[in-house]
Amino acid sequence: MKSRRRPLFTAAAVLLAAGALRMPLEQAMTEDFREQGLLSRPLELGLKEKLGQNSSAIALAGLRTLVATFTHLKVTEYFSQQKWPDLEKAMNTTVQLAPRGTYYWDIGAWHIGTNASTHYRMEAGLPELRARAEARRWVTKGREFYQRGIRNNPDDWRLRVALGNLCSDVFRFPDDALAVEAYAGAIATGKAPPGVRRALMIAEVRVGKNPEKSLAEVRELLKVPSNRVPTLLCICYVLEQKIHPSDDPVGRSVEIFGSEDKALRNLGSYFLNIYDRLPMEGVETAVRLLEYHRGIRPEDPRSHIRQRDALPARPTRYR
Amino acid sequence: MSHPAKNRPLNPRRIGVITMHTFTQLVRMKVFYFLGVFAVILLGSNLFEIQDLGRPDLEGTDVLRSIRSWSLGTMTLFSVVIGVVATALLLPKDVEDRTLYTILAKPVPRLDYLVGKLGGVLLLIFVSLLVMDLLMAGVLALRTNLVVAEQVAAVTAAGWPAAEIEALRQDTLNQGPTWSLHGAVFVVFLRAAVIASTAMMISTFSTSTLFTTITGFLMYFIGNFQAEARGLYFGEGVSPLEKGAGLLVATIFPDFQLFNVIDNLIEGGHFEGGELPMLIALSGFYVVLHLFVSWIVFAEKEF
Repeated sequence: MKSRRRPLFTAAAVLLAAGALRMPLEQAMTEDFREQGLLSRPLELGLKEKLGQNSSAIALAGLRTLVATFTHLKVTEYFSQQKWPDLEKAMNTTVQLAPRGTYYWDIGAWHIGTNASTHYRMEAGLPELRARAEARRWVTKGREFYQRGIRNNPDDWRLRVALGNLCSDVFRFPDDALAVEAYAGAIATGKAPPGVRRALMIAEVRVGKNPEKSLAEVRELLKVPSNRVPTLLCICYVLEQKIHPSDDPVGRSVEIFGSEDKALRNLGSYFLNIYDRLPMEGVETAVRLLEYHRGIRPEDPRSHIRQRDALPARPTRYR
Repeated sequence: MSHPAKNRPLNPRRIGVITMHTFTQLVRMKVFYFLGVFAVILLGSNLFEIQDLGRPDLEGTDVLRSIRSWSLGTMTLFSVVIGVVATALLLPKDVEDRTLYTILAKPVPRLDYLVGKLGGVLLLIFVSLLVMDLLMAGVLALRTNLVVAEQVAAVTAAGWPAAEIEALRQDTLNQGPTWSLHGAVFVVFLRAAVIASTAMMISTFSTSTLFTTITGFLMYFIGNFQAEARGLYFGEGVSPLEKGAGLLVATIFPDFQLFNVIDNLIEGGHFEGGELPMLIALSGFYVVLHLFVSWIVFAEKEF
């Protein structure tokens, strides 16, 4: 007589044997998928506590991105209420659930580094020194958030450019060396649009890269018509004057800008942009001469020289 | 001239008849009403437009993410629930209706019966997911075009260069309906196929629908911890008891965590190469294994 339990034992043996067979294969697949960024790391215990029992269960049931959508809705709520520490916590939870979601990293770093820092500097009613310290602390947090996002998405150029922009922002305690690193990283992904090369060039000039090398690169960039933007043309003028000083600044400016009118318009605006940490060698002389040719005296309200003298030492948005 | 025996197992026609019968049986249970719920969820996900953030490059993309995430999430829930519940219902219902006796009294191999039943459930899930995928793709295509138009207008007004506008346009289009997103829906189906075959395996030795359903869901949840279980087994500095527990979980339960590649696809990621064929092969392995085990138990079961 056959045992009624024999099929059950046979079935269990088959399951165990197949399990032993597939286990190393599945382990290799898991590691491969994780390496490619297709599969996220398991949720940390701390995160499970933050999410609560229900959301953890949903997240564990293969619905992490859905839970991330909910936690991100909380971020928007905290943004409206300007509850920045809560926003930071919710944003951290969101990115842990969806670490490959570049949108979450971008928007989170922007909330923390830009919106929160502005709030503490301008609106929180703190004493000046404390306001600046708080603003700086949140800008640093914003940069770190971008850097974490970049580590999780190494082939994404947008996050690197956004970090570069934050580090170059005059109102956010600029760090030009970090901006150079960020823009260079974006270009190294091979996906960044040509405009990022210009941003890198400007950041390199700010940190004082070798002027000869910079000039050669600027000349190369200016061969492309879409790169002939005012800032780059002005930088080209400054570098030319620095390396090969000319006795005829007006002639050189016409050579670079195409006309005296355009040279005055571009160099004039550049001359007034004193907060942007750009080199200014020879610009004042050129502006004075170009204005002289147009009959504009330094006392004239239209004169860039006079306008610059009237500028405060710090941007007006600074406290 | 010799003819193959007519009741040779795995006869496609016979399996097809049982599959279609099971499919009809499930359709009569008004399962497709769920598509109405899906449509409501899909429309609802369109409303999650975050307030104006002052970032023209990010404006609107959250809605596209919301549509993808809600749609795939709903598909996952639907397919897992149907995969477990419908399969758990089938065998007990056939016993209750006495249909099983009529079928097995005929020269129908029990393997064909099991394959046909599972085929019916999988056909139902496949058709449902196909309709949901088409609905999602349609809504997503419409919304993506709107978002792209708004973004391009905003960044053009902000004076962005043409190359950057084009890069942004491409990035946003990638958040719309893509082949990888359809691939993600197919992965949802593969996961459902594994959970349905698991439920079928349980139902062959279980005596109640409730037990099968609860055990099926538990297996699904535990299957999402497979990597951790293997980590325990392969890890260092772990006690023999923990190693044994890890080994037991890793060998008995299917690995559902591997199917979570869907999360990355929802975020706009892409299949790089052989991942989808690997998941198809793995799912095929599970379905065949579970059918085989089900057959071992079911073949000699007395009714």
